[in-house]
Amino acid sequence: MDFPTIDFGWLGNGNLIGLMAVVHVFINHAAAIGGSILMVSIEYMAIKQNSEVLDRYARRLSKWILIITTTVGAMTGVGIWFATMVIEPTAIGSLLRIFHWAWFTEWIIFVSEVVLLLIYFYMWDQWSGEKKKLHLRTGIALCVMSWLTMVIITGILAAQINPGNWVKTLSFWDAFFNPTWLPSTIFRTFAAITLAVAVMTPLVGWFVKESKDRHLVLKMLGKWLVLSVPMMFIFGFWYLKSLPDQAQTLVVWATGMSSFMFLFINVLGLLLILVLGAMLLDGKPKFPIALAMFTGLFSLTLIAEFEIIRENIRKPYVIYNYMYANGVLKDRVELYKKEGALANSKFSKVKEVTEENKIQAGEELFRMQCIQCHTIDGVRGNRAMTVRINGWSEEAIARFIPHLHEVRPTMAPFAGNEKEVEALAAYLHKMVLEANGANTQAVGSK
Amino acid sequence: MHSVIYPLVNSPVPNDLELAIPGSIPFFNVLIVIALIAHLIFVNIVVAGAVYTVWNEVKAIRKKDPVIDRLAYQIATQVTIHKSIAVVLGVAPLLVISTIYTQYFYPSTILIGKMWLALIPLLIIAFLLLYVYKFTWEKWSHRKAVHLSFGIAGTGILLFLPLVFISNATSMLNPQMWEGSRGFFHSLFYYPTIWQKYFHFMSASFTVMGMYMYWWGRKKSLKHSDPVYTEMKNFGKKSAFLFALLQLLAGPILLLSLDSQVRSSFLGGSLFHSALLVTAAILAVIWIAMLLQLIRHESKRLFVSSLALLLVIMGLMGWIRGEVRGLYLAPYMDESPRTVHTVK
Repeated sequence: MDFPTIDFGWLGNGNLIGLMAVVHVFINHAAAIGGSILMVSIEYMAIKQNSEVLDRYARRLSKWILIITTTVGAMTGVGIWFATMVIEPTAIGSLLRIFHWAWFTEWIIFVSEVVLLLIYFYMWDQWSGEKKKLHLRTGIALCVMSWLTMVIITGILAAQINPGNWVKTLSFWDAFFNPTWLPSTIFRTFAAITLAVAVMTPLVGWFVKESKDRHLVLKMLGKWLVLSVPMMFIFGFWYLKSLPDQAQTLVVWATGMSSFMFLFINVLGLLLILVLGAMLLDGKPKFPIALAMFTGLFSLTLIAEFEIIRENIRKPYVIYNYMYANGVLKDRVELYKKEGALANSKFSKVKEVTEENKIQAGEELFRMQCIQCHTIDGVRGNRAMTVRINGWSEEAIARFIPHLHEVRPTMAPFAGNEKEVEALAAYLHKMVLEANGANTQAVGSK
Repeated sequence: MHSVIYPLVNSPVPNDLELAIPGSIPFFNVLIVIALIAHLIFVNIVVAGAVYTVWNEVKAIRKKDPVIDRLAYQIATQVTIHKSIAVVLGVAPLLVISTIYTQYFYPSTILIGKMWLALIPLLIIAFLLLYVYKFTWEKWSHRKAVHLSFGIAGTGILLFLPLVFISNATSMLNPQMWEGSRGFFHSLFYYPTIWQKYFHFMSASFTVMGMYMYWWGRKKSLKHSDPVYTEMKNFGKKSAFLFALLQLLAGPILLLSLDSQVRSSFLGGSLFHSALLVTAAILAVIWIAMLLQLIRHESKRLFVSSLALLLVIMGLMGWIRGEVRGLYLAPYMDESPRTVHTVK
């Protein structure tokens, strides 16, 4: 509303943030948090067993963790911020005002995490013999720091979906220690370990050739897995219960699956991971590679599904009960309905709707209030206007817009006056007609 | 050329957010100066270091000199280490700028939004290329052309990216020009001072990298008699001196390209601003004289004092930068004040 708008077209603005977030969470959870814990566990085992092979293995892991986390990992983390800055400026701007010092603290921890990782990798050979203990402690400190960055960021993410009393008190502490923070932090911790084990297990044979050492590594991975999967169940359930009522009901919907499919796939998948854990505990150097591959892929899908659910069940808000997903403040809606959204927007080229500028005004409104989630014609069918309102008349669209939030509780209400409703309807109708007309012609000419 | 319009009739700056800035603004301003300098030192080392790695590898190939090849490898290792810290240190200044200059920084960012987002894949690619470059140094010692191409590609990206940040930082100071802005590439030749800032930044990078190489080479050569460290030390000293001289040119060019009212504040219009600039300029000249001495005779004391003086000069430059921002934005601040108390 108050800032310029940007259109990533067919890809969809929201998808771009989602894409960045999913890649970041893969790397952060699998490598930075879970991966570091496993890497340091292996170094610990190497010291205990006096095994040169395991020590080399942990060192190789540290090289890969260093490369991946300081490139794709760190940059996609910054990327989520950059993407929200250009797509949802009001939302991220407000979150920064609420959580500035939490983010600042997280930054200090993040700096120490990177420095510790650099020391851990580059000092591996120098800090041997008597200094080995110091090296191991550096590794443990690294794990603690990477975990703490997640603890703080989870506080912010959890506050978005359930800010608790903050909406009334505007107190930072109420926002940070919100009801969802603790269960989601513990859930994520064990999800990170599960993900790291699942991704690492199929690769153990490639890294560790000797069967005696492989046996030790697999057994250790099995132990982490049988601990983590039940913890994920327990804290995942608590997490679910800590969500606002409406958000709880949206969980299954957010995946696009039926209730049965949702339960069947997730429970069976997690059980299979648990089975892999039990088999690994046995420590046999040969284990079913198909199961390990499945576990790796399923875990990645699970974490992506989790992130998609988390984003979707927050609807229609971006900060619950405070700001809608399109960046409009809940208590400004009535004002915009009365005075008009365009008149209140600094960057809109149109301030008042006329017959001549109707389409242009509609486009401005679409960019201001819809584009955060929707596209005209885009990669996600259920968010593309060419699918959602295909065949609708301009009048039908105009009649629907003022009531869309009543029909669909996940939609933010349209914040604009009657003329603006008509302008938006005219624009949408024209664009959909053009896009679908073009598609029809293209199909016809084939 | 443009000029800031006093007083503003129709400010293009959006209203500030409803939630208050969580802290004292003067404190945040000090924090920006410190955080930005810390970040820029590492960025300087990474950008100039990447160029020097490639430069020295080419030199080693042409002269068939293994010492220079090892020098290049040493710098490559430093570049990959420093880039990780440069990235994390960049978070703090962005955090503070986003929080206290929301009304200016967000519009300027969104106006070059696509390139701003392209920073992420470009940086990832550059860093990965430089990792390949470093980790294959020995393995590809007989395939120098292939090896070098990774270094050149990574370095090329790093030389381009500062323009994105400079373009954003310049646009945020010129809200009256937003309406005519047409994306990143247009911005490069639309807003004033961009190339002057780039020139200033690049010459600073090679100065800082020179100082770093001198420090690192000197420290190492006290313990090892390896000729690579002597080479590093000498190369560093020369780079610091030459580019510091260039700074004497880059600084005034940038000053002259500023908005006339802002410039005149520093050239006698405001006693405070002029004194700040004169102090920085005098110290810079003293510093260059110290560097010249350092080239002639090695001295730990001289090095430490020149380093300390460099930090003081950088602090003053950061402060001046903050003042310039304040002068550019002052008229808009009066029109669209920042939220310092939440109204609920």
